[in-house]
Amino acid sequence: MPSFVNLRVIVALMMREMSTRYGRSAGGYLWALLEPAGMILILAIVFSLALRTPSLGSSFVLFYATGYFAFHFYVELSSFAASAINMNRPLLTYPRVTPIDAIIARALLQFFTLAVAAIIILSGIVAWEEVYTVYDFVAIIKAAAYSSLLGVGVGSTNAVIFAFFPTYINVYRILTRPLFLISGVIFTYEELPGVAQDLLWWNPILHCAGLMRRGFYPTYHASYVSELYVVGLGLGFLTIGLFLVWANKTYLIEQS
Amino acid sequence: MIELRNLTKIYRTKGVRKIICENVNLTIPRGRSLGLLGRNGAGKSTLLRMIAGTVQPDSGRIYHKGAISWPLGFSGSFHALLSGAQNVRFVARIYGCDPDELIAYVADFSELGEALFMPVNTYSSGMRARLAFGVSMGIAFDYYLVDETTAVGDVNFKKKCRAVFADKLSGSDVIMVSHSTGVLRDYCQAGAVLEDGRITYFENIEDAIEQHEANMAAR
Repeated sequence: MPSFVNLRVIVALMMREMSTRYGRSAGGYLWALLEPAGMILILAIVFSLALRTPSLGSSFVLFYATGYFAFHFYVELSSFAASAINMNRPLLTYPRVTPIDAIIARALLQFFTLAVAAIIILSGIVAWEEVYTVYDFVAIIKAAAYSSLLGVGVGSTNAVIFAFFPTYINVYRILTRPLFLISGVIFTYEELPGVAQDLLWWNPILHCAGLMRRGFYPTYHASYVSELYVVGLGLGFLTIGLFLVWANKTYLIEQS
Repeated sequence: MIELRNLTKIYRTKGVRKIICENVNLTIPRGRSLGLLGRNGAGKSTLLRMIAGTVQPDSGRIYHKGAISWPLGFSGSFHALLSGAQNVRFVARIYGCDPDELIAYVADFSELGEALFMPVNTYSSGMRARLAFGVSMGIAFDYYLVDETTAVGDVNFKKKCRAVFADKLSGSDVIMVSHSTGVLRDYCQAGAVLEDGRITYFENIEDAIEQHEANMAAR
């Protein structure tokens, strides 16, 4: 059961990660900001050349930023959670540090890093584009939280599968490459043809994108969103993932 | 006291069964440091890690009273990209000690000087050993698990470790894996021999060494 010791270990792991991850490369934490900002800018420029107006509102940048962040939280957290054990391997020789601590610490740190980046970039866009709107902050927070939950769930499950079947890493990368295109970053669910709607409804990140845009566009309701489905799926993955990590603790610590 | 009850651990790799221990029962009493002997690959280090809690047995349980250190070896537990001091800070945090006090202790004990603030991947194995011993001795444990599979560290440093154990840590016990019978005689009073998945306990380390040498001669 989680205890005070676990909390202390998680905080220690987060602090140790902060001192290595960005501290070493030039630019430091600036990269956590520049990477999504650059991506959003490219999307906005490319699509503003092809389209007259974005699918919602009048700001291209805001439309792609809302979609991109809903997607970005998932992608980042799933990859950070999956690599948490490898990144902290030497520290797992301390009996107090468990693989689950490593996953939680890395996911939390990445969540906070992304949250800061999202707040800075989104409020920058709102100020720059002079967007006047009524925010639904609950929807915005839910979108980021659900996307992150899915990320940690899938990432921790992958951490174990990757450890047992290294070839699966490449298969997984290829399979998830189109994810960016089908997750509602560059379109809204309502624009899709019926068949695509029926199929892509099952993509949970599309629901996160809908929630995120509901938070920024008061007239956009994203009524297709099922919070129950997203949260259920996220918790399901997380339960399976943490159980697998717990059950294979020794193997995960010892494999090199 | 540390008690191993019906402890079984078997590794299976590519159909080959490697028995570390099978239905082992052993009580390690408090107050007598234990030297663990056995041939190469017998599973001494794995046993040590099971006592530490990083490796889980297939069946059976380990009961213990008192704080047990992590298996203290000459490599491994440090993060290569962090400096020595940052590693010490991490250990202090997870064991709930004051980081600055522990760093001061390690700086004094390890005599690493400026190197303490350099990344651990620039260290020689001797320097890592100094750091490892410094950190663990700065934290009060009832049992120190020492995995000395490779003998590193110069004579002076070994003397220093010995002195700390004799003086500051006189209330603590050592459970040590070593191939050097000299080191085992130095630190340990009792001995245990691990052979073919069985453990034999000896009140006197000399008897354990004798048994071990007889095992080695027989095969």
